[in-house]
This record gives sequence, structure tokens and C-alpha cells, in this order.
Amino acid sequence: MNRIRTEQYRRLAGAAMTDPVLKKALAVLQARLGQGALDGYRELPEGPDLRRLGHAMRMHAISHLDLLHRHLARQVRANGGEIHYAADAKEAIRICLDIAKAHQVRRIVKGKSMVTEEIGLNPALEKAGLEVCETDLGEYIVQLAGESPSHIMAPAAHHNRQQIGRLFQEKLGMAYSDDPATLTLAARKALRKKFLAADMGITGCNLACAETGHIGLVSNEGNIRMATTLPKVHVAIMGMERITARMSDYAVLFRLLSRGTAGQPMAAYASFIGGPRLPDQNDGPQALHLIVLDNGRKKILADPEFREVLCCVRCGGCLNACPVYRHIGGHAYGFVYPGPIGAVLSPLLVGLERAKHLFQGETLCGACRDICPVNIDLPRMLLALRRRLKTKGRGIHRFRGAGEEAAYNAWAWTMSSAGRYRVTQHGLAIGGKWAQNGQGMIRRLPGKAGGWTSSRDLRAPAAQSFRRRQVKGK
Amino acid sequence: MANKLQSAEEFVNGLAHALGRDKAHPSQFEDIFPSDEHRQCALQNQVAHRSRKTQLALFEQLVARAGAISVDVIALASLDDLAPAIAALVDELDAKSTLVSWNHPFLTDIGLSEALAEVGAEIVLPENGKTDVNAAQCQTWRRAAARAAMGITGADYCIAETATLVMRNRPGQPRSASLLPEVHAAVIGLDQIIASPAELFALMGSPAAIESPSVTNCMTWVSSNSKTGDIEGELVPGVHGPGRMVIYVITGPDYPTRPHERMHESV
Repeated sequence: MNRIRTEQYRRLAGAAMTDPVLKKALAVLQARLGQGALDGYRELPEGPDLRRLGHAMRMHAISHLDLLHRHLARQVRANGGEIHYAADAKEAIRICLDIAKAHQVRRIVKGKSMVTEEIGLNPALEKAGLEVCETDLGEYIVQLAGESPSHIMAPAAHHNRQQIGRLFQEKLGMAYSDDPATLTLAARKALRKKFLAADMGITGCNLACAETGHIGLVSNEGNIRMATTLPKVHVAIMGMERITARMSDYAVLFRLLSRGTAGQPMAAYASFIGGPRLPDQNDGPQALHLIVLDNGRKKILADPEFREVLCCVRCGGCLNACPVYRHIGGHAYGFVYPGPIGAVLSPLLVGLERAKHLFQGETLCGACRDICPVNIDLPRMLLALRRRLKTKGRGIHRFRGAGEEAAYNAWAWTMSSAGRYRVTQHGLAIGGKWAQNGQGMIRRLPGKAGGWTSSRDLRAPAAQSFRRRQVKGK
Repeated sequence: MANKLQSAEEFVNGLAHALGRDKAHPSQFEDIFPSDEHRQCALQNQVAHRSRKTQLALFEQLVARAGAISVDVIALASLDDLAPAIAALVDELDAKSTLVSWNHPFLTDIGLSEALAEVGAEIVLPENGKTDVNAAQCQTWRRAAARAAMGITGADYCIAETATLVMRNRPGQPRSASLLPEVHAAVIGLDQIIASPAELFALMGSPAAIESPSVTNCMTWVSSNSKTGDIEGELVPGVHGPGRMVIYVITGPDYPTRPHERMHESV
């Protein structure tokens, strides 16, 4: 597995919040991509119904994953490809290395794939003496910098052009430039050589199709097409949940994916790959291998409360809407999946206790649910994770002391009855009259509540609640 | 191989167990995931009976959609106008001297080589796939495509809603023709423009398509030029694939219809 640093969330988040480059970058990213997605949904001819349909389609597929995979296996083999099943990261890496050995592979090019980051594929391949080159521009940049990606769609979002310019100057030996077009051209030239010399292309899989055995892959850059056309071997690694039943499902799901990712009606390129090259074709790989990965997903599948998270198509939309992500960036989440999806998925994959700050650190504002192209209810699952953590016990303190427990219990008791709520409201109004200063503000609260007023004033409650005034007709 | 088969069964049973089933799903695929025959038929009919007026409206939609993403859509009255148009484009680009092209009914016998020779360009074709293509021939093609300034292809369909060219893998029509060169020029007929991805899948599932391989081992959708926003969100064209795309649409009534279906008939 990739290095897990979820325990360091608070430290990493704190550091990120003081990074001015990151601050600016994320504000721009969210304004462009997040708003773009929401605008894109409004342009859909089917309106919000398409997202509901997308959700139903994904849940239906997840609920019958066994049937889909049985069909997929048959189809992939019939098309001349090979399919493998990996229980965990170690197995997936071993299968990949075996394939590389069998085809005498030395040089590998990679399309952007979160699942390959999840299993820590690159370091393992390099350790085995293979050259691995990321080809998505953002992934290429973070690879040169020796970092991990900080965003699903824009892996190098945390860098500005000056930093990238200096990086390219150092690593590619080119004259310094901070012009994106110049830098992109340099990357194009360098990566073109890699594509043409590579023995193997490794990609993820956006959505496989059980009906026909095709692997559906999208990109804007064209690197996926390159990696799946030029090298003699193509290896695709898929999380087991990345599958749909019928080809016609792509008409719904790829349109939603493209809009959720970047507000586009359709990504620049979509490849539907069904098998290796046929003898009468002029290009294409000689061998196609599909590796289906479990790595903790089966456990999620078995849990009805969290099964819905498997509907995710990794568009990155939730990152583009989340106010928390906006301030702390992707690396703070300490594992390959950042943002709201990471706050739910990472704990389920690496352990609730270990990654608890991820789901505790979200605000439950619901922006992620509003932007998700397939209407996944992430806030529901964030709450469920908190509940799950509490009730699992085992040395985890529910409250930080008897006082806190008493306070929460008192609050719960008060709020669970209309009569007690009204009495408390009335009491607060009376108390507020005494605690306020001449301007109607409370400057100091007693005891633990003083933590609130240490840096801000609290407006005193009105003498009469709004509801009472309405009822009284004023 | 026997080992792997067992592994697939084990995997599937594991999923069934996780979903609370005793063993792998008892039902058939078609029962749980029925294909919407009714809708497929309706969409096929919609396309088959489309009037020229509606077809032209789709063309306008394509132009608007493509324009928004800087893809040029150029109407030509007939195939006779194609060779001069491509030659003019090559001239405008001040391109290097080699182009690559598909083996395609639209592109043969239109005087393309001659028109290109006049602007100092030559065209390289792939093996037509009537026989097996060997490794050396693949290499030759790859080198030509990697050097070429422009790749000329046809397409099976063009989806107006998303400005998507749909290209299925066929002998003599390699995918790298629309990938390696810096400019991609595609030629389609007016009636190849369809409304939506839903129509595309309905057409591919039609009885007529069953004789020909319906999806093939690689179907490629191209909906814009290659681009990235990975550096500070600034959009840069031509990252790995072509930076420029031009779609020629033959809008006059006299041209060979449904070239991909004809191609399959002749094989």
C-alpha cells in the first residue's frame, strides 16, 4: 500500500493552511472546476433526473457486483484479453510484475490512476528495476518533484507556474520558463519519446462494461490513448466497483463524469478497449491484461451503511466544492484519496481509528453531495463514520471528561422535548438580559463557555423569540 | 488457465457472500440488467427517418458545440471539394511534408495525393489489412504517424450534443492516425451526424450491426483537441494528442453513404 499518513492530518492541515501558494491555487481551482460542474449540470437536457438515474444505475450495479464480474470475466477472455484478481495491494503488484517479466518489459508509461497510487505500484516497479514514467502532465510534474498527487483531476494543483518552471529547469535541463505553453511543450517532447520507447502501458479504468468486456477510459490530454495504443502490453487495474452493466450506461455515466470533473459535456478522449490488437490491424498492443482489485472494497460492499461509497466514479467534484479541502489541500488527508470522498473512503480502507480526523474534520455542509454527479450522500456516511467510531469503544474516549458528557447529555435531554426547549429559550433570554452590555452583546461567558467569547462577542438572545413574535402577530 | 478460472469463481463467490447471497447470483444477466429494447428501437427509428432539415439542424448544433471548444467544422458540398480543402489547410499550416491517412472510401480516388503534391506534401497510408500486418509494417506506420504533421481519418458517427467523433478500430484505419500527428482532420457525411450518445448505442445494438463487429476491440471517441489545465488551470492545447482538430462535413446529397457499412461489406 502507498504510505499512509492519515494520523498526521492535524499537523499537515495546519501547515497547509499557512501556504500562500496553495491557498491561491485552490481558490482558483474551485472557482473554475467546482462552479463549472454546477453550471454543467444546469445545461443537461434531462436536468437533475440524469443524476438520479446515474445514482440508481451505480447502486444497481454495486448491488449485483457478483453477476457483473462473472459476465465481465467471460467477455474479457472471449475478446482475447486476460483477467486477474488481486485480493490486496501486494497481490496486485505481484501480478503486474509477473506480466512485466513474461513480456520482458523494461520501460513503462502510466496513465493517471488513483488505484495504482493506492497500492503503491510505482515504487514497487522501480524497486524491481523497471523504469516507470507518469504521462499525465500533472502526474509527471509530481513524479519529477518526488511527491504524491494532491487532487484527483489536477495532481499538481498545489504548485504555481514558477515552481514548475524551476522544477523543469532542474530535472529536464531546459532554460527557465514559467509560461504554461512552453512548459507543456517541453513535457510533450519528453513524454513522446517515452511513449514510443515503452514496452508496457499501465492505466486505471474509469468504468468497465460487463456486457461486452470493454474497459472505458477517459482523458483530456491523450496520454491514455498513447499508453494503450503504442506499447506492446496494456495493463489496466480496476477497483472492483468500477464496472457497469451495459454499453448504453456510458451515455449516462461518462456524460455525468465529464461534467462532475470539469464541467465538460464530454472529456476530450474516451477509449473503449475490448481486447488486444487483431492480426489485420495496424496498431494496438499485443496483449491486454485487466487486474481486478479488492484491497478492502469487499468489506465495504458487505456493509450496507457504506456500500453507497462504491458508487463513486472518482470525478473529483467533491474536492472542488469542499470548504475544508479548499483550506487544507490534498496532502493533508494523508492517503491517496483527498477531499470528502477521501474522508469517507480512506477510513474504510485504512481503519477508522487511524483516519478519524479525516471524517471528524469535515463540516457536513453538504456541498459535496450537491456537486456529486451520481448524488452520493457523503454527509450521511461522514456522520455514520463518527457514530461507528464512538460505538466501537475500545479505549476511545467518548467525551473529554465527565463535565463534557454531562453537558451533552443535558443538551440532548433539553432538545428532545418541545416544552423543555421553550423553557430553556425563555431562560436564555432572561439570562442574556443580565449578561449583555449596553450594545446588546455578551462579552464574557462563564466557565468552559468562555472559550467562545475569548476572541469574539456573542449577540444576546432577544427578549422574545421570532416564533413567539409571529404567533403574537407583531 | 485452469488456475485463473478458479480464481474468477472464487472472486465472484466472495462478492456474492459480501452481498448476503449463499453463492454466486442465480439470475441471468439479462434478467437483472434488461436492455431497453423499446427505447433502442425508438432511437433507431428516429435516426433512420430523420429528415434532411433535422439533419441540417444537427449540423448547426455540431458547429456551435465545436466552436465553443475551438474545433473547426467546415461544410463541403461534395467529395470533389475535399482534396483542395485539405491541401489548402496543409498550405496554411506550412506543415512538414508528410501526412498520414486512413484507407477510407472518402479518401480514395479524390485526387488527394496530387493536390498535396502541389503544396509540397506527401501522404502515407497504412497497410489495408486485407492480409495480416506484420511487426515491421506496424513499425513503418508508427514512424510515419509520429513524423506526420497531420492525420486524416473518417469516422463512423459524429455526436452533435458533445461534438464527438466516433471511430471504431478497423484494418487500414489505425487509431494512431488521429493521435500522433499535430493536426487531426476528419471527414464525415452529413447523415453520419447523430444527436446523442444514447442514439449511438442504440445504433450499435441494432440488428444491422450484429453482422459487423459492433464495438470492435477499440472504439475511440474524440470530442476536442488534446488539452490540459494542469499548470495553474491555464488551458494549453496539444499536450500529447493533436493540438488542432478540423472536421469536414460533406453536406451535399451526392456522396457514398454509410462508408463504414460499405467497408465491411467489401471485406
